[in-house]
Amino acid sequence: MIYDASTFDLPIRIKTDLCVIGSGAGGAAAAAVAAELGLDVVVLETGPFVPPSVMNQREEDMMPALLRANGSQTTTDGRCTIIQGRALGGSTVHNTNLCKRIPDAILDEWEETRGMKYLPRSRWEEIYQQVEAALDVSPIESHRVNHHNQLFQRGCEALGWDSGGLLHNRNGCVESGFCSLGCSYDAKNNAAKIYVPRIVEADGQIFTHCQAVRVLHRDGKAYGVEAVALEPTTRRSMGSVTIEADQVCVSASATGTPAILLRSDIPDPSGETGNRLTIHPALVAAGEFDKPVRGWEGIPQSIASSEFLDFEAAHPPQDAGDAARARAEEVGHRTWLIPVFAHPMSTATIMPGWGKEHRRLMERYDRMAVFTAMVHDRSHGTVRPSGELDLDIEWSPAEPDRRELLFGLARTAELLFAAGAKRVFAPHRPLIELEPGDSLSPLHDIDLTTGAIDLNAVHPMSSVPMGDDPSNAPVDSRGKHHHIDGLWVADGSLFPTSIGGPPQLSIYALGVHVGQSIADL
Amino acid sequence: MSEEEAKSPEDSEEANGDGLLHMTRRKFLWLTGAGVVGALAVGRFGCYSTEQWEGQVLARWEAHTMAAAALALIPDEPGRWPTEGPTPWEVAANVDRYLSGMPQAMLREIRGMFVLIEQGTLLGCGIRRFTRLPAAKRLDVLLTIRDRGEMFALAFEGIRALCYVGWYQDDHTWQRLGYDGLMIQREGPPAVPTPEQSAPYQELVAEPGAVPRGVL
Repeated sequence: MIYDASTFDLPIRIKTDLCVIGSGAGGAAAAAVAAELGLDVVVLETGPFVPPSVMNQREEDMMPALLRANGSQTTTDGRCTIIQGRALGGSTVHNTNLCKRIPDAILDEWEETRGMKYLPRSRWEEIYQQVEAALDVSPIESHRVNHHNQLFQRGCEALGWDSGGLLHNRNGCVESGFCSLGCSYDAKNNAAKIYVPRIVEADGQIFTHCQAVRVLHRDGKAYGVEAVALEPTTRRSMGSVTIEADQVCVSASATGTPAILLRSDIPDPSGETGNRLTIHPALVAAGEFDKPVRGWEGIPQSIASSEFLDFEAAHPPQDAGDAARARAEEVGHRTWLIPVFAHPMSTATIMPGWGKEHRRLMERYDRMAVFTAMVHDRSHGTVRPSGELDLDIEWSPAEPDRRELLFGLARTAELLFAAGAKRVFAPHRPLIELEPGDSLSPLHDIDLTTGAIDLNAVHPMSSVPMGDDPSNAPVDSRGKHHHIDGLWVADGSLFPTSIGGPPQLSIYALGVHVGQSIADL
Repeated sequence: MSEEEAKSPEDSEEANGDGLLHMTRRKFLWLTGAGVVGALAVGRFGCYSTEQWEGQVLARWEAHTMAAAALALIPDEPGRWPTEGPTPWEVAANVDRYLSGMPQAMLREIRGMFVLIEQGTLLGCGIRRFTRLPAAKRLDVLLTIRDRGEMFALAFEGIRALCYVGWYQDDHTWQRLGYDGLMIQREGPPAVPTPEQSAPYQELVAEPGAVPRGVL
């Protein structure tokens, strides 16, 4: 059952076989599989349970209910916003349901560099198939492509760029366009809808408003989790919740998981825990059209372009020659282009300026298309715990990623013009406004280090990268920690690198993989 | 040297009983100075209007600062408040609700931002606090803070973003954007709280007061 820990008689101490920290794609899948295989499971979730019946489509209500720091989580320098979920189901509750497997070139590289003996390609195929069946993954039908995405496709066709439809995990979608605020129509086949009922059905227990602080361990063996119940409104600690468990699986996301491991003084001779964060940074440009676009209507993202996303070029084999290595460093192989749109409050905070300038920009809201360039990044950021409940994230683009980001921003502008935009805006301070035929060089000249333009990210990953050699990885390819028995990781932290596309499907798959590995032990 | 010899001329006056209300010049100057400092302190830190404030996160002075910043940043011209949306005070209340539950570290940063803005006129040797300035002057102060760069610029971006969080969450501001608002309020498919759809979720939730299994 689902219990609200803020209603417990505190302090409380509970014994179970497996404690899973986090209920997002990785944690929920791992918990469901392990519970179904016979383990007694307790899942700890920091956020609330927000069922569709209380999702009211209002940004000011749903962002605080569903997102970390109410949607305002940033890197410590404030220059990159990192959106992550903090509700039962994690980020799968507010994401846009895109499903994409990890490309072969990346899996090849991981096998070459990290071993991956417990996760050969055959195993990936097996767990992907399980998850795709569970989530009912299907192509987004062409009649569901909204006007905003049609403009994107039109631009790609005009430029001769590759574009195509995407896969999603929705059933009964009414195309409301409010996916990022949770689905009031329960059409998302997310972790709360698919895996949470399985956990409960298998007699697992879920504690919401319960934040894990540290993993308890001694003599190289995990023996539980120290957590606190949170007051639902202020989110301050109300008292301790101690879980005694022989197995602990940390699935608190690529930011939360390393913070907990580091706060717990979990040994890691490789030094990789919390030091290899990647985020898929993105920049956006907006185009103004003569006729209404109404980008908030319908499925937000149904078409994307991989014209500048060449995994084979970006990930040459280890024995590749100099030419292939040089090509991998060229710009234009690591950018994914896709439409993106936000409701008014979020849009207004991104739009630069104030007063009249800002109001004039917002008056064009219904005639705007917004395209984003998301980069398959290589720069490594860090995550550190901050006090008992918070964490600090640092990430800034190294030169290759900086060049790729600005290259991508220029391509979004090019694409908007090709789609028919009469004006393109980059949300730079001061505003960069371009008209058809203008040089795109102002976009290439942006200095990303000064905070003149906001970076956005929604895919933190690779902060506890798996690998079979304990000297260069904290966990193996089962998700099992190399140095603490009974300690596991099951979330996007495990990816050895960024993966260049929406990660939810692969995180679910890793959850299934780790859950089975725990139960098999 | 005797004690009397060590006295300054002002002290001698006191001994003579001369001066206003038996006050020495030094004491007079000291009290005057203290009075000015006190008045400045009250002017700087006190005397906020008694308009009702029931915020959960923002203190009254922070709400005043929020509303004052909104009046500078949201209108076409500072001080000429648009008619279609919430009042500046309502913007502050909207922001207060939005901030509820923020991580403590972030709330500390936000409080620092409000101190910087409200008392930021000191950076330019200004006497009056931010909320006591005319709207146009407030914008000047905010831009001065922004132009100092780094964390100051982030503070400006922070207050700017909060203004729009408080303004554009109000339904009345949407018509100008061509935004037709919430789908659940329009004609269309019903949202989920139909009994047959919400029931499966309710069945997953333990009864209030239920004790989990495995309690030691």
